[in-house]
Amino acid sequence: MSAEDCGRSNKNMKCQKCQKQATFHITDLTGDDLLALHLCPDCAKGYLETGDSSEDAPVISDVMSKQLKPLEQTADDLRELDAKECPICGISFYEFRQGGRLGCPHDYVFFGEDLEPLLINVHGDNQHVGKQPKRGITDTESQTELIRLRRQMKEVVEQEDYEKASQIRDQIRQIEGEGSASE
Amino acid sequence: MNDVPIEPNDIVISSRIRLARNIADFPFISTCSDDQRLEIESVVLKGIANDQVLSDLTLLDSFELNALERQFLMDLQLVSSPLQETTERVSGASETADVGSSESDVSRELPWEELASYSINEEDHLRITVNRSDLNLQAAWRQISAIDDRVESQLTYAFSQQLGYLTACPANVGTGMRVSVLMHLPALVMTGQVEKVMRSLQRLNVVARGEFGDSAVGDFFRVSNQATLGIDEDSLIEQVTAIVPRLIKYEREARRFLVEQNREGLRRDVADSLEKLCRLDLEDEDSESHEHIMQCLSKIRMGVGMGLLEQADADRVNRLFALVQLRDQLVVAIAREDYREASELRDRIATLEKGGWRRDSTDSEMSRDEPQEEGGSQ
Repeated sequence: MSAEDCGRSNKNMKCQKCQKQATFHITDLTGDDLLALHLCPDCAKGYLETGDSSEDAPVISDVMSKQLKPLEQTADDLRELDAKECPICGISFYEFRQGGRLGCPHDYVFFGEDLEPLLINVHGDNQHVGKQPKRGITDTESQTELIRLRRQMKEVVEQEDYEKASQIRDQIRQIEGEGSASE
Repeated sequence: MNDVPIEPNDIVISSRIRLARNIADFPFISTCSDDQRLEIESVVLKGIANDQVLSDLTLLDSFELNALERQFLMDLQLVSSPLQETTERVSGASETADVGSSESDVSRELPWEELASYSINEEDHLRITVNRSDLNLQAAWRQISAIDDRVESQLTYAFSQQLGYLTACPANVGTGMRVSVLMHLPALVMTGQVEKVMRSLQRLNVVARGEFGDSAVGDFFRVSNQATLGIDEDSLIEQVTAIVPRLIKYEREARRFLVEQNREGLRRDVADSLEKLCRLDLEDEDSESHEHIMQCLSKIRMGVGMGLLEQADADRVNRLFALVQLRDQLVVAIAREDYREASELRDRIATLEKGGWRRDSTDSEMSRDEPQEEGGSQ
C-alpha cells in the first residue's frame, strides 16, 4: 500500500474489519512503509486505543472512566469499590479514581485486583521485568513488615527503650540480609 | 530498520531518561503530611550527602523558582536545557564542562553532553533525570542506573517483585522509567500531517505530546514510551529510539515538499519571523506574546536547519541563541546562589546585547562559525 491511498476519501468505502462505512483513515507506521487502514469509528477506536499515558501526568482518571464503564451497569459494585479504603494511608478507591494518584505503596497490594485491569490497559502487562534494587527486599510482605518494624523502632526510640530498639534493628537487618543474597 | 546513529541535528533537540522512585517507609506524596514531606526531603538529602558522587548532582527545587523563570527556562530548551549542572564528575570524565563559555560555539546549540539532576517530593519522592544533547540513550541509561544504584545503597525503595518500582501513579509503575526524545517537527505541523503521524505512534507503544505550554498546537514534540511495566529498560530505549529516524524522515519529506511548493514564500516567512522576534520582548510574561515568541523561534530554527537564511541573518540568530543561553545560565546561577558566576554572565550578556542580534551588526567576532551543518543554498 502506498501513502496516497490513505489520502483518498471515498464516501462508500467500507470498514476493513466490518461492513460499516469507513470514516477513519489511519496511517500505520509499524512496517517500513506506510500502511493505510480504513475503518469505521468503532473499529478505529479499538485499533487506536491503547490507553492514555503521557510524559509527566498521565490522565489516569480518563483511563479509569473507560475501564470502569462495564461496572457502571452494576452501580452497587462500583459504589462498594469506591468506598474501599486502604488501612495504611486511608485513601479510598474513589479518591484514587478522581486524582489518579495512589496514597502509599501498600495500595498496590490492597487494591491489587482492582488495579489489575488498569495496569493491563496502560502497560499491556502486569509483571515487572527489568532492573531490581541490588539489596532489594524481594517480596512485598517482608517489605511491609520492614515498614512496620521501622515505625516500631522509631516509637521505642522515642520512649527511650533502646533494648527493644536494638532487637528490632537486628530483625530489620535480618530481613534486609535475606533480601540481598549478593551482599 | 536502518541503524544509523543519530547525531543531534535541526530536528532532534535532546534526549532524556527519568526514573521515578519512592522510599518504602513513607506514603506517597498525595497523602503525606507537611511533616512527612519535610522528613522525606531530609532523608533523601541525607542519603545523597552521604555519597561523595551524588552530592555533586544538582537539586532542582521547583519552589525556589517562580513561574516566570520556569516558563522562561522551559522555552530555552530550544538552545539548551536549563537548571541542570553537568555531571562529568558522575560519569568520571575529567574534562571540565565548559558550558557555553564561548559564544561562537552556539552552532552546536547544546553546550552540554550529559546532565544529571534530581527532584524531591514532586509527584514521587524522588525523580532522577539525565539529559543528553545526543541520542545516546544507552549511555544515559548507564549513567542514570549508576546514580540510582548509589541512591539505593542509601535508601530503601518501594519495590515489589511483581510490580517493580512502586510509583504514585500506576502509569509509571514497573521500571518507573520514561525515555524521551525532544523533536522539532514544524513542517509536519505546517503540512497538517502531525496528528496522523502521532496517532499512529500509539500502535508502537510510543506517545508524543506537544512540549512547551499546554496548547496541543506547537512545533515541539516529546516522544516517549507508553508502558513502564512488563518491559525492561533496554527494550524501552529501543522502542523510543526506533521511532526517531522515521520521524526525521517524515519531517524531511515535509520540508522538501514545502520548499518545492514555495521556497521564496517560506524564506520570507522565516525572515519575517526573525524581524518579528526582534520587536518582541523576550522576557514578557504575557502568555500570548510567549506563544508568539515560540512561534517565531520555531520558524527561525527551521529556517536555519533548511539553509533558508542569509548569512547575516544566520549570524544574528546565532547571537540570539547565545544570548538566550546565557540568560538561561544566569537564572540557574542565581538559583544556585553562585553570584560570582552570575556577575560574569551579566557582563557577557551586556556585551552580547551591545553587539546586537536585533540588527545586523558587523561587530560580530562572537559569531565566526557557520550557523548549521546544513547551511547554504539547496
